Amino acid sequence: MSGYIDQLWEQLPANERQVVNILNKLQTENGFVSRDLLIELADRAGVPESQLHGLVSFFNTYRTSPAGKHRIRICYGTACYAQGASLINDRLVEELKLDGSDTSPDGFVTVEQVYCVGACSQAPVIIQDEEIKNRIKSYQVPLLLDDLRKKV
Amino acid sequence: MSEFHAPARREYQVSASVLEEIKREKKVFENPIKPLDFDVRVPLQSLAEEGRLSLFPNISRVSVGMATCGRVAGAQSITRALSERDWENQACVVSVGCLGACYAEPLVDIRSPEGRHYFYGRVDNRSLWSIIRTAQGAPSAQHLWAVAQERQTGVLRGIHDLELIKLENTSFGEFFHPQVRRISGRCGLIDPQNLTEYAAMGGYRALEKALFKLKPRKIIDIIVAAGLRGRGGAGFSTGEKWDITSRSPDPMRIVVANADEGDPGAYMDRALLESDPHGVLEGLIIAAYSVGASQGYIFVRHEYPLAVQVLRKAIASARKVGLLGHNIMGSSFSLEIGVVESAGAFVCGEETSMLQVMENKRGEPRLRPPYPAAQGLQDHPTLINNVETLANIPWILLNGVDAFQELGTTKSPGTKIFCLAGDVERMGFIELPLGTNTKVLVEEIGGASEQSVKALHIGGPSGGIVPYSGFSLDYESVAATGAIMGSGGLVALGTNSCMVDMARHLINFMVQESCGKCVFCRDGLPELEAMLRALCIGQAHEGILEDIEELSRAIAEMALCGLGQTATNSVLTTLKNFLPEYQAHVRGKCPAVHCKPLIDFEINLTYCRDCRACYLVCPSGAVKIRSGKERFIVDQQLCTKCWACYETCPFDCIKITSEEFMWKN
Repeated sequence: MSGYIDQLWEQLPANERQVVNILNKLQTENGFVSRDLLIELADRAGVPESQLHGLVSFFNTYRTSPAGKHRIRICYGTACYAQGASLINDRLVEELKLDGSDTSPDGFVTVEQVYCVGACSQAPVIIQDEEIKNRIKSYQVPLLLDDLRKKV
Repeated sequence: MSEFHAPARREYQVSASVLEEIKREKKVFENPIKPLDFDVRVPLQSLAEEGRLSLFPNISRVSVGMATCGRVAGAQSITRALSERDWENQACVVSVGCLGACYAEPLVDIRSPEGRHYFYGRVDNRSLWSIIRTAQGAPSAQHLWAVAQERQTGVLRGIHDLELIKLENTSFGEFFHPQVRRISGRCGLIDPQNLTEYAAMGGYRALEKALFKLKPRKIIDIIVAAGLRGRGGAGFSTGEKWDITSRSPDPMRIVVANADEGDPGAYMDRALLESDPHGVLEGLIIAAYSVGASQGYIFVRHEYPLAVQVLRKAIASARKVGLLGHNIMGSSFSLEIGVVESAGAFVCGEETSMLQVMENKRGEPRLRPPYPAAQGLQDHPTLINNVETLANIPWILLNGVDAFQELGTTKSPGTKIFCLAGDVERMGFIELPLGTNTKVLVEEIGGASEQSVKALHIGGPSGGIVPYSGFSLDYESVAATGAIMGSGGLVALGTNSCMVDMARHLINFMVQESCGKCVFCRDGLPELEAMLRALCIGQAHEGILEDIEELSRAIAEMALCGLGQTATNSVLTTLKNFLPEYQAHVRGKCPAVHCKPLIDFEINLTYCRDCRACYLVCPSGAVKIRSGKERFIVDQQLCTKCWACYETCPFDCIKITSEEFMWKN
């Protein structure tokens, strides 16, 4: 992994080397931000590691542990909530038997909430991996999960 | 206050980015005249000519709305189907942004070589053939929504240059009729990734005028005179902000475009960035020129991946033709723009919090003053403007102060983009003169009936929930209702929305978004949420409403930043306006029939056709089939209130009640 951070660092123009930009890359490329990479980044950016932990815990997007194989994010923006986003969430929790954790015991799906993706006209929406699906009804949840399981 | 703050922050270790900034500054100083790799002036004329060729080709131009709203509705497969087709030189397919009518996505606009535009809304595989035929020159009336003609063929600077000549779908006309598209006029007509099309619509003319005909001071005077107010929420005078930054003794100035649009329900910045990014860039470059900044940033949400992608492309193409970088358009003015992606924190829209993140720190807001306009990023004067505010700048420079003030109110001149969502027929982003009545927005444009809308949620989570009535949409009138204008997001809440649960949801959002700096915001909000939750599950204690109100007021008073001060607005406004609903919850009933623990499901067998959909779909086996007269019943012990039976029943047989209250369809 050595040199990975350096590589990311070099890719960015000088005025875009805010650590938040690099953390975003780490999150998108790895699915989470690991402690090791954080230490390496602290070294490279000249920012105390404690400060980076502060940043990572501050933002909703960053995870410090790996996510499940698939990621379902439910939009919890006002418009989606008013159209029944919580019903979708409850159904997912029930179907996947999520017990306090956001990832199913078999590591298959991680369920997260996201605050508004700006597609309010299509509410309620969910983001399944990188694909946004619109006008979801809670009873469609088992079908969605079945489709996901069939995907290899 | 500033004396107290400054030394402490100067002790902070100089980060690598500052060192580089200093180095670069020096370099510029040492070598002020860089060889130019283009003509002395950017040939805007030739860019525009090139853009005209792609905007007004002599074949049909098929534009598919490919902003986020379009993609979500399935525009990608439409684009794929259309572009894979062999058109035999009869048509070309282009991806454009969003026209604003998000409810009509996927939306396709076909321009014939004669300047006639055929609009097809909610396109699916069935309407594809009509589109293909129209593009081939034989317009098909099937699935057609509207036809518009360019007033003068080959002249299109915005949607206002189109004249409606045929309306097949009246609601489409009603959506656009009351609107005034000044700054969003190009959205959905041009390819956002193509700079030349923006130039062909008169883009970058304002920048040219600013650089070669106006002095920075004069531009600031114009913006002050126009009375433009920040569109991000607070409504502070934009010109005054510019003035403060431009008068700073510090020569290193920075401009930041605030695109961290965190308000759920508001997406005008996303729409502008995805559909017309050069309009925002042009505003930002003019702002930088006026205040004498050489470094600019755009702070944009990570949740808008498409906007980030389009924006980066726009910056790169502007750079390529000399509209960014050294000696812009051959003038002595230079500017670099960097993109910083936020990672999902509502409070980062607050300017001091945003600057903290850009300095690699936790986004905890700090005390103001000193205001960022005087002392911001790395202590340099930093001008922070909202995306929509910046998009107004080129328009004002080109059309003048008087034209700008023609619309809007005396205190809030100009137009504003509102985002309408929720329980209305037609959703989307809508540009209206400030001071327009809510009835125009919700009923005329949104197409909702007066009785169906119970309340309006204005201004995002910091805003308030007010009963639906007609009032003027300007900063002062909205504030008078107890809500705030915010960035202009409006969610219409129908008769079936529970105000207590809505307030709980918004407080829950605030709990998650509180940065944790102030005790009342960090610990008070979870306490408040617990009380609201108790109401929603029917376990409220005596005197809970008084406790809720007291705590809400305390949090608002004791918080440092705007987030905490406004965090409980939703509770305070609902308590004031919908007190009977709260009182009903204390008694264990939900008048909106929404809160799960307070409602019961029953099956009304009058219209039942024995399709067994409810029985099949119930995940917990609560719907039971029995012999005899009561064929289907819901076992209340097993029911998880997931609404699956209600959502699937084709005959509306599911009756939902909360004692005397009944769910109305």
